[in-house]
Amino acid sequence: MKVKAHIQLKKLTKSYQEGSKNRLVLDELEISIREGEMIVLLGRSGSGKSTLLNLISGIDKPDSGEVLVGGTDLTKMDEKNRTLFRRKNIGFVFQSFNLISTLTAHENVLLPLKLKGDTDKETLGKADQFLEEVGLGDRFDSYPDLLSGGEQQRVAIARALASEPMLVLADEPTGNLDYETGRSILEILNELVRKNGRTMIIATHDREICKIADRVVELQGGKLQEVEDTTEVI
Amino acid sequence: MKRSFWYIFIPLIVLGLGFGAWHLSDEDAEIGASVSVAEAMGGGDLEGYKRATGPKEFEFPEDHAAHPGYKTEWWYYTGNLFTQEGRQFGYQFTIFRNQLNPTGTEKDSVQTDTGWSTDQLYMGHFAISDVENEDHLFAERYSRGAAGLAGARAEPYRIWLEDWEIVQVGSENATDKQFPVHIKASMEDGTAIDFHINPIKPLVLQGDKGYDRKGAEQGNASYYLSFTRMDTEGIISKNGQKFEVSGLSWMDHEWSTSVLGEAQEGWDWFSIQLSNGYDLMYYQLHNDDGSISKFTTGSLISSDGTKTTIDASDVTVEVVDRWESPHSKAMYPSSWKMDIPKYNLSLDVETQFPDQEMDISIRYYEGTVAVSGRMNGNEVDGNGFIEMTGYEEERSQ
Amino acid sequence: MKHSDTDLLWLSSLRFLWKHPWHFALSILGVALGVSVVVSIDLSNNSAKKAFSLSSEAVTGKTTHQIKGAAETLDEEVYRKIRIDEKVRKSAPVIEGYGRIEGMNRTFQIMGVDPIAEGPFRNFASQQAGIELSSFISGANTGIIAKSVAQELGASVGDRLTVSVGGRAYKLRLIGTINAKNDRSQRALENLLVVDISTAQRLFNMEGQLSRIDLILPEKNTESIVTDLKSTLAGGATVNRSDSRSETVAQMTRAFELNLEALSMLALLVGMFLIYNTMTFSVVQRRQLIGRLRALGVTKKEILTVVLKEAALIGLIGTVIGIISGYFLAQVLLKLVTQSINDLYFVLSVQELSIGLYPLAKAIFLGMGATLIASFWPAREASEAKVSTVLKRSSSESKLAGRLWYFAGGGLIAGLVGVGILMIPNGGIAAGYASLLLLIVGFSLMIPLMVVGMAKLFRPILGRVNGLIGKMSVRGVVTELSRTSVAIAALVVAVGATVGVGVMVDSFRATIVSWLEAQLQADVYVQPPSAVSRKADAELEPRLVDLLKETEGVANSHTVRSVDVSTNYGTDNLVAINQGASAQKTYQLKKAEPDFWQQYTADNILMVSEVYAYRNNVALGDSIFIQTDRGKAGFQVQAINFDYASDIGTVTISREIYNRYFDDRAISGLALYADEGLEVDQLVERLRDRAEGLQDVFIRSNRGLREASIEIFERTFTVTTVLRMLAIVVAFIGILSALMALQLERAKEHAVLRANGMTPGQLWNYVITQTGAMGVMAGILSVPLGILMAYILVYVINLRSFGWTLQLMISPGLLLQAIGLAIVAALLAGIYPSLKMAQSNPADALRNE
Repeated sequence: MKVKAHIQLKKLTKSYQEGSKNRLVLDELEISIREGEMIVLLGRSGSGKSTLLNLISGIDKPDSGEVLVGGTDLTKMDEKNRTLFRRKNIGFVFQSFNLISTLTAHENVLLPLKLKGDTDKETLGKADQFLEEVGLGDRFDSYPDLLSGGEQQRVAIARALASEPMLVLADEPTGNLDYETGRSILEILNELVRKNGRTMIIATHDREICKIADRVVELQGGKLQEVEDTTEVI
Repeated sequence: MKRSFWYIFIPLIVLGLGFGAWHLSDEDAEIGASVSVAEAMGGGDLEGYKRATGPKEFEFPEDHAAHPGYKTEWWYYTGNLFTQEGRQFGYQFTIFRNQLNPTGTEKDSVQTDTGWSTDQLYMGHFAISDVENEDHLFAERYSRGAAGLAGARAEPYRIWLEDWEIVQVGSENATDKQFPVHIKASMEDGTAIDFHINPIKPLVLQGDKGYDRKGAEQGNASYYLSFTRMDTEGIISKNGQKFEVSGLSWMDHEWSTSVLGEAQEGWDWFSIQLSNGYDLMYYQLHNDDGSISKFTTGSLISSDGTKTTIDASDVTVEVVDRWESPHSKAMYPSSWKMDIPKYNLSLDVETQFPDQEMDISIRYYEGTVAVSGRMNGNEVDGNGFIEMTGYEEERSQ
Repeated sequence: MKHSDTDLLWLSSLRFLWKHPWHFALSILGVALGVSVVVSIDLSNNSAKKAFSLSSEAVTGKTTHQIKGAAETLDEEVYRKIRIDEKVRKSAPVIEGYGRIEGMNRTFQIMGVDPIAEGPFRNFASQQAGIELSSFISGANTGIIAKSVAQELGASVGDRLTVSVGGRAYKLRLIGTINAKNDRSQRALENLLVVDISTAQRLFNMEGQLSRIDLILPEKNTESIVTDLKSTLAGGATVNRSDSRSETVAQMTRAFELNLEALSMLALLVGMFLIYNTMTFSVVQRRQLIGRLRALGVTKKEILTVVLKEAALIGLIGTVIGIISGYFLAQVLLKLVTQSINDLYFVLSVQELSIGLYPLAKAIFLGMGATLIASFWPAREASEAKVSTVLKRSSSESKLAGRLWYFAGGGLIAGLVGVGILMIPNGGIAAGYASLLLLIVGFSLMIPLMVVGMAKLFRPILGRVNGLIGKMSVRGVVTELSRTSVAIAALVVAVGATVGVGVMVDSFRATIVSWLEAQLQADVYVQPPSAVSRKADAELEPRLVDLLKETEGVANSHTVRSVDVSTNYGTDNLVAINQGASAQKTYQLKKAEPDFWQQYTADNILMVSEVYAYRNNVALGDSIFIQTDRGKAGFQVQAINFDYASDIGTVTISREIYNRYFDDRAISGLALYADEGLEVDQLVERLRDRAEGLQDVFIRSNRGLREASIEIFERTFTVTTVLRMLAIVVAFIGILSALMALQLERAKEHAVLRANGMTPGQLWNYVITQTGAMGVMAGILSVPLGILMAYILVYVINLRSFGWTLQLMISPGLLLQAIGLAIVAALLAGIYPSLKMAQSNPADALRNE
């Protein structure tokens, strides 16, 4: 049934009011992404990467256009249904990790599963499994503020994947980390996403990340451009 | 909201409601209490009271009224009355006077016998025996002998306890000693009497000219006056019905400080009006061992009022039958055979119906009796009253 | 799999609260304080009411009807008539009065009974209960009291007690003790001294008289029996249902109780502001956390639910703590409430708090309800926030800034509606409070705008005084307006409430002082000790009156008689004065017919107090029908006077007229004028010497009585003052908690400042200046609100509750006190956060969570 593209954005337009001026961030943007594809979204700071991710995840709504994820048009849903769609189908990895400070590492990973209402042991076992896989099997009960940045991001990755989402969105996942840690995080992310056959979009300004991508697109002037030769870009 | 929250919340609410309910349950509790006093009732101590120590000169009308200074006194009216159709009713109407303290001796007494304060307590007993229905109705009431609520006055004669009263009525041939009275009393259910009573025999001074020994000890005696036969007519109200009745009444007025001796337990007191014009008063005091006290005595009053004293040795009384009171469990005699050979008198006495017990603060038996037998060889019959005390085996103190 | 069954969102919330114990504790404190005040007032009011109804139940027993005389007494002949002639078997004579038992610091109800007639009525006073008649009715002064009281006194049966009644002491032998059947009976009987009718007549000097006759009438045909009885009663004696007495009493204290309840609700309102404040912080602090949850797919409803659940938890804990502390507070308040009731209305002594279901339910409802209502908006704001913006930095500041005028406009409308409600004629007390509430809410809504305005004013001033730090501090207040304005509003309401109540009490006091000044024209006043301080219910012995009048140096005198009579408006206090036209100097009239003073000794006219006129809606020219010993008589109201001594109201007539209608020659009070040139104090000494050994009475100079009256006045306002103190405490803690939370929340900003080179001293300066500025703003804003509240309390609520005309009296000291309170609390609030910041390592705060 994979005739259609897995994720499809059609004529996506979004602008922000800034004082009396209207700033156009996305301008009739179009892209199709296949299932299991790993996309790197390049763009300078302020180019609209986060906005685009927010639209794809349904956190935000576009001014016009369609956001089709797995055949569902998010723009046609209300706030509540978008939230429910998000909790079921989309995993997040943020630049600033965004772990819930009042929950332990293990509970953070469990949270999306619980929200989905999965309570059977097998599914919940996934939380343990993913935490093991990101190498934090011994930090189950640690609170985020006791973890280093790299460790926090690994928890975030485990959290994003544990709920078996259709799509994983990562916004500058290495942005707050040192070079070495950043590399290892990227490796884990790449490995786990591919192993589980998830679709993923990584937004970054770091062109080195393009190495792991199936396809690289750059956001410029509110439109996306395919970057054919990644080496060239680096 | 999730379960964990309700785990905390629900028990608290339940606790709160339970607490509230517990308090509310107290809301309905009635306000009640009893009073405890230090000393036991001063019944035993007779110090300071007047005693009946020997015969005295009576003065009338004064001696018809109260004799303060003596501990107890009563005006006892009984009688058997009939409607025109012959339906029989017995009645008892008694006012007792009870002195609480020897006159003027109450500790801390600021002023006595003014206004409401008094040493005199009055008690009234009133009963109707409906012979046809074997129905015995009775009532008791109390009042202090002050503030106009109760008293016993000589001139004009009035013995009253609130609206129960015996009051002298005018009559042409009345004397200070002997006069007609009007008796009125009613119970709360409407049962009432309203009689005109007129003595038709002169006043009898019982015992030794009115001085009646009842025990061996000095002062264990009373002053005892009787009208043994009085014409009575009036109305008895019962169950909303009024009965016009007439018949004979008997009156005893007796005062004393101490009557029974230590060993004496009770008495059987007969007052009998015979068809041949004779009246018989006879009482036997019984001792706690069951024997009859030697201070048992009586009198036989002839039609013209002549009194003949009867001693215990002259009389034999045999109990023929007994009745057990369902109220007090006491075994009262209910039928007697009485022989007074000295006067050629032999009588069968039987209660008109068994249950005529006065089940009130002081329990006793006061019942109308039917009498039949022979006197001087002639058949006689009559009516009377029997009063019995001291039959309760274990009297609760 | 540790928490496999637990709701992670809820767990996260709990952990948040746990990690911010200060915050958590302050929220709970806010609820607890509010609930505690409401509970304590409720409990003490209820206990007083319960104690009254219990003792009246004990005294009333199973009585259904009562026969009473026109004035205080009833001829005992009536009893004979009822019992003997009318054959009412269930009738009992009663004499009631008050006295003190030496060794017990409370007033006892002395009840004279005939134990023989008591059986159907009150078993504890009956012959059947075991009262020994021989010592009870035989003329000696004897009596029985509850066993617990005897134990408290250390007295046993046979001992002599000293009982003082209206200034006379009597020895009385205790001849028995009453053993209550249950706890309730115990409480009902513990203020009762039961004596015989004869003894009571001696104690109260009532030879031949009774207070009343109790009746138990059958349920059917009651009306016709009552009619029959009425027709046989002579003079002014009447038959009434026995419960009418409780109703009268309930009516008497209704306004008093309502006021206390309203004050307690005010405390809860202040508490609500505190809750709102703390909940807002709680949400604002977690804005990022909430954003993350939203990004992960937590729905709005789930966020709303979890925040409200948190509020419910805070509400629950706060309510429980509030109820418990309210219970203890109530024990203190109970004494004060009882004292006030004793001073103002009737004798009541309450030994124990009674906890009803209703106050508890109300506390739970209010505590939980107020918390949930107060947290609803913060919770909704949290859930409504857009995820994308939440993930960034707070944007609600600009949102509020844009809405400042809307808020202010809304506030204005609320205020206008409040004023509108005030305008409704005969609006009642509830309407008064409703408009008060609306004005408070309206004012609070205008606060953000006023804060911005004040900040503009403050900035240059503080800049000059404290340089850059001063400017920064004020700026900080405005940049975080959504938080600071809520905190300031809470403080303003709290402090404003204390100002309002303070001004009200001051106004009252000032009015009464000036009234007393005019009222007390004579030089010396003689009064018997009375059970109710502000009511004369005892009598002076006639020979004492004569003796005092004839004392050398007494130029002139007049007397006063005060009795309770029944009128067509219920039971009223009737005062008879034997002053002639000179009384016009003493009484300040609000309204009067011309020549009132010339005619009042001759005609059937009378004067009612302002309160009476208000309560009963009586105007000049109306008639009042009084039950007298000559039967019902009509009197025309021809004057209305100011009188602040009674909040029930009094009816005043001339003694000449009184004597015409009542067979009562007793005197309740005597006023004496000194000869020209004679020192008043000297005369008082002389009079006291003369009275020596006679009745124990108060002989006081004009000044002495004034002081005594003011003392009583202050005592009756102690409850109000205590409530005001509580409001101050709530306000203080509110300021402390709000500002402290605000500063703690800014730990990160402070860390940045420290990292950028601010010394601990400078940071301290910064924090203190900022909280101080907020304190000053709150203090200043509380003044107009406080005065507004005082205005409504004095001119609307008091008038509608009692009918008094009061002069509004604003003392600057009170206002300064309010501002001072705000500033001191604000400064104190700055100490802990700055101390904490100064001590800690800024790096910790800068670390990412």
